[in-house]
Amino acid sequence: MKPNFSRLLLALFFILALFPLADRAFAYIGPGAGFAVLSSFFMLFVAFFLAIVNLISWPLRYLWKRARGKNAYKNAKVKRVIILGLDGLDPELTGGFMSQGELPNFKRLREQGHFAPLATTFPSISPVAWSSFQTGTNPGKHNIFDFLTPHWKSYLPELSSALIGNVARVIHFGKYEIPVGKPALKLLRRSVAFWNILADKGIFANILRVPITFPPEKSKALLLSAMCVPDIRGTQGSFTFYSTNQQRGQHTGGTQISVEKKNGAFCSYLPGPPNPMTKAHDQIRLSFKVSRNGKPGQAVLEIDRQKHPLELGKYTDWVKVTFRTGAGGKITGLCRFLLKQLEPEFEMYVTPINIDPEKPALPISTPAYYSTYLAKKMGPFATLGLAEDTWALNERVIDEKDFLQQTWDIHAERERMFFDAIENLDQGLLAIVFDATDRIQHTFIRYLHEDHPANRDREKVLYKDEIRNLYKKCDDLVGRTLEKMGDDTVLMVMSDHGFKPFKRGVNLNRWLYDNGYLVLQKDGNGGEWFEGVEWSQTKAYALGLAGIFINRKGREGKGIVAPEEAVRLKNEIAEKLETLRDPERAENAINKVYDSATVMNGPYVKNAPDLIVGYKPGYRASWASVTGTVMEDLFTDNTKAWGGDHCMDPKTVPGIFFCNKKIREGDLTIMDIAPTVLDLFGQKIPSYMDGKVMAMSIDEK
Amino acid sequence: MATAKIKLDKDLVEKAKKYAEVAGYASVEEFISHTLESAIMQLEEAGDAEELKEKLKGLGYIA
Amino acid sequence: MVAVANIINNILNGLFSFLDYLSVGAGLFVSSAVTGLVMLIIFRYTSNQKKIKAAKDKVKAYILEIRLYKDSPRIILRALGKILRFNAIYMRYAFLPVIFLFVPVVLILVNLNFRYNYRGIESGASFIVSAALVDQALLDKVSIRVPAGVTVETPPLRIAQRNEIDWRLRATGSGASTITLVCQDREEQKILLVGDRLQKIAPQKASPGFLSVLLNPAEKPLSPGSPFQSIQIKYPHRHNRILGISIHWLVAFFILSLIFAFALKGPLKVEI
Repeated sequence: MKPNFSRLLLALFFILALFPLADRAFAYIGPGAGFAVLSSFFMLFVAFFLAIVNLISWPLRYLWKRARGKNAYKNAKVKRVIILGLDGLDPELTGGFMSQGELPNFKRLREQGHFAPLATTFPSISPVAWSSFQTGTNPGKHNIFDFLTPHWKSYLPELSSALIGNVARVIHFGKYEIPVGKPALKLLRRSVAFWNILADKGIFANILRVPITFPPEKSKALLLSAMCVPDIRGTQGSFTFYSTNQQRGQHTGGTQISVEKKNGAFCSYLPGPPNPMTKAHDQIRLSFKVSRNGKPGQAVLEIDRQKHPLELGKYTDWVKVTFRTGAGGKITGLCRFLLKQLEPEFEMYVTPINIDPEKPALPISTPAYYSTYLAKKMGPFATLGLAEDTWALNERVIDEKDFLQQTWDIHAERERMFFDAIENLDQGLLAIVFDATDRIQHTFIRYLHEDHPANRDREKVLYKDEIRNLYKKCDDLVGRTLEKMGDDTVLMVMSDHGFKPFKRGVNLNRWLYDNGYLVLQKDGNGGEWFEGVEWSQTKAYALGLAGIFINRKGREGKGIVAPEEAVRLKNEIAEKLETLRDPERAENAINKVYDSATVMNGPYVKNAPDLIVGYKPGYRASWASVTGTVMEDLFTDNTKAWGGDHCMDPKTVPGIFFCNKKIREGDLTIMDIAPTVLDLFGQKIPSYMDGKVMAMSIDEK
Repeated sequence: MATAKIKLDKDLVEKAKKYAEVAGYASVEEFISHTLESAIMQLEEAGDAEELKEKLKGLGYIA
Repeated sequence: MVAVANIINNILNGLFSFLDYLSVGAGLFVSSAVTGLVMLIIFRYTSNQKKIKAAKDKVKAYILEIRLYKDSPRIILRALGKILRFNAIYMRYAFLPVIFLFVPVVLILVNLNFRYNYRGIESGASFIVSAALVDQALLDKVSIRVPAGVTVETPPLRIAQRNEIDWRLRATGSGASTITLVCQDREEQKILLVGDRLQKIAPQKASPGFLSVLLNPAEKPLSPGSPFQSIQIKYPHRHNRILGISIHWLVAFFILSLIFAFALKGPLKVEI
C-alpha cells in the first residue's frame, strides 16, 4: 500500500473534482476520516499544550528551586547511578566462568572497578534481601522475613509483603454487588525505600521491577512493581493446562481443565478472576475454540472475538483477554497460549493471566499511568511478580525448551525497557532487576551436578550449558549497559544472593514432631497447613523457607511458650539441629541455626521466625515442610526440576557486587547499597540504616 | 493507601519521635502505625482459611 | 450508464423511504446512526487496524512521556518530534479508507440534502424559475406554461452571457404541480412543490448524464437531446430545529454520526 499512497491521494482529489456540487455537504468526509482529523487534532493539541506548559514553566521551576536553595543535585558526586540487579547471580559461578575467559565485560568491571561477594540477609531469600536493598536496613526493621508469614491467629500463611483486601463497602442490587471504592491494598514492607528519599529531595529515580514493590507506594519516583504482583485471578501465578486426556490429573501451581471435542474443534474455557460484581464472586469464564486449519501442526484459536494462529510448540504473542463483570465492567489480562499436542490427545498450556499493564486492574506502578506509558510505548509485557512459570516446568506441563523460551522472552521485554530508561536518564538513579538469572538457576543448576536426584530418569545433557549461557548473556547485557550509559555514571551490578544445588529436603515439622516439640491430635495424621496439629501442646512449628517459629504465648493464637522458656527452647532446638545427620549421605544437613534475636535488630524482630535454619549447601526445607505438612520422611530427595536454591546458610550463598568504580576496602553487604547511593547524590544517611557507605573512589569533579 | 489525620498530644508525639529513632523505625508515623496495628491484631478475628490458601497457590517458592 | 444511475437511485430511494414517516430530528437521528455504523464497518475492513492502533499508541505514549519527564526539556522536545511523526503516520493510515468511504457518503448526503435542505414554496410567495439553454439563439424561443394556482408575475428576463432565462412566479394553494417549459417543439416539465410538508425536493432538473442523475435523484433528468441544460426553482432553505435548537441539518448529521460512530467503535472493536 505504501508506495501507492500519493497516487491514491491524487485519485481522491480527482474523484472530488468530479463532484461539481457547490453544496457545503461535501466538506463532510465521513465518520472515519472525520474522527481521524478530530482525534489527531485532539492528540496534537494535548501534546503541544502539555509540552508548552512544561517547557515554559521549566526555567521558572528551575529558577524557583534555585532561589529556594533547592538544587537537588548540588552536593551530588555523580550525575547518574545505574543499579543492574541480576537476581541470584552467584559469585562462585561468576568467578569460575570469568577465569575461563567467558565473561569479558564482568572482567573489565573487575579490573577497572571492583568485584566482591555481597553478603545477603538472614534468611537468604529474595523478598528479604531485596527489602534490605531498598531500605538499607536488616530484616528486623523492614518486616519481611520470607515469602510467607503466619497469620498468628490461624497459623495459616499469608503473603508477607502485600495485603490485598476486599473493598470496604458494597451496594447490593439483586444478585449483583457493586463495590464502592477500591480494594484495600497495602505494602507490608516497612521502613523507607531509599529512592523515595531521593525523589522527595527532587532527585530523579526510575525503579523497574525491584522485588517487593507491590502495591506501589505513593512516591515521586517512576516505579514499576515486581515480585508479588498477582495474576488476574489474584494468585501468585497459576497456569492453565488443557487436555483431552483425563489421566494427567491435578497440578500444583495451576489448573487442569478437560477439553471437549465438538465437530472436530476443541472447546473449553479460560478461567478468569472472581466476579467482583456478584455476591457469590463466581469465576468469570471466557470460552474458546481451537480448530484445525488443515495444515499439519497448526490450528486456530478463537477467543474473545479474536482469532489467533497456533503452531505446535510455539507460543502465541501476548493475547489480550477481556473478562466482563456485567454492568459494563471489564477486567483485561494478558496471556500466551502454547499448543503442545494435537494428536492423539489435544494438549495446550496457557501462562498465568498477567494484569494488563495498559489498563491495570490493580495499580502496578507509580504514577499509575506509568505502566500504561510503558505498554503503549513498548507493547505488552509480563507484569506478574514471579512471571516465569517455574511450576509448569516442575509439573512437566511444559518442557525445558518452552520454559527457556518464556523466560528469555520476558527478559527481552525487560531489556528493552531498561535501555529505553537509560536513554531517558539525564541525571539521577535507575535501578532494575532481571529475574531470568534466578529462575534459570533454580531450574537448570541440576545439570551442573551429576548426582542431583532430579537428574534421575531425566535428560541430563541437552541443557548442560544453559547456566554458562545464562552468565554469558548477563555479561553481554553488562557490556551493552557500559556502552550506553554515558560518562559520569556509577554502575553497580549486583545480586541478592547466590545459588547452590538443592538435592535433599529436610522436613523440619517432622523433626519437631519426632522430637516432641510439635504434637498431633492423632499420631501420624499431620497434613498440609498444619492440619491435625494440636496447638495447645505444640512448642514450635516451621512455616515457609526460613526457619522455625516458637509457639509463643501472647503472639500465636494458641501460644503456650512463655518468653523465658522461649530462650531456653531456642538454644535447645538449635543445638540438636546442628547435629542433625542425613543417614543416606552420611553428612550433617545443617551448618548453623541462627537465633533471629541475635542476627537481627529492630521493632519487627518479634514477627520473624525465631530460628533461622542455615542449611548446608545441598539441603533445604522440603517442599512439604514449607507448607506445614508434618507427616513426611525427615529427609527426601528433591526430584523436581527446581533443583537449585539459596534458602540455606546465608554465609554460603552471598550475592555478587561489581562496580565500575574502585572500592577501597571492607566487606560489603546488600544493606550498604542504599546508603552508598544516598551518599553519591550528596544526601544525609538516616540513622536507622544499618548499611555503611562504601568507600568508593569517585574522580573529583 | 489513602491517609487520614488524627490529633495527638504534642508531648506524646515528641516522645514518640525520640523512641521511634531508638527503636529503629524510619519515621514516627511508622512507629505509631505499628503500635496500633499490634494492638488491633490482638483483637482481630482469624481470616478465611480457604481464601488465604487460594491466594498462595502458585507462589513459586511453595508447594 | 444513466440506467445504472437510475437503478442506484431507485435502490437508495427505497432505502431512504423510511424517512418519509419521520420528522427531521428522528430522520437525522436514524440516518446518522446507520451511516455511523456503515462507515465504521467500511473503515474497519479498508484500513490497517493494527497499524492505526500502533501509531495511536505511540502518540499516546509520548504524550504521557511529556508528563512523566516534565523536568527534562530534552525529552519533551524529543517526545514532541515523535508525536508529530507518529501522528503523520496515523493520519496516513486513517485517510486511506476515506477513498472507500467517499462514494457511499456522497450518495447518502445527496439523498439527505434533498429532504432536509429545502422547503416547498410558501403559499402566496413569489419565487424564481430559471432555465439554462444549450444555445444562446434559443433564448427567444422559450415560453412557460403554468398550472392553475400559479401566476407568472413578470415577463422573462434573459441573461445572454449565461444562456439563462428567468421568470418570477407566484404560487397559491399547496401540493405538487408541474411547470412546463417549451422551446420550439420540445417540452420539459419541472415539478413545483408548494407548502411546508417534509418531502424530497429537487431544486434542479439536470442533464441526463450518469453523475448528474446520480447526484439529483429527486427528479427525473431532462430528456436526451433537450435544448435545456437545466431548469431550476429557487426553493428557500429549510430551517430545522432539532430538540429546540436551530441547527443546519448537515451539522447535526455530522455531530450525530460522529457520536454514533464513537459509541459503536468499542462494541465493534474498530480502531479509528
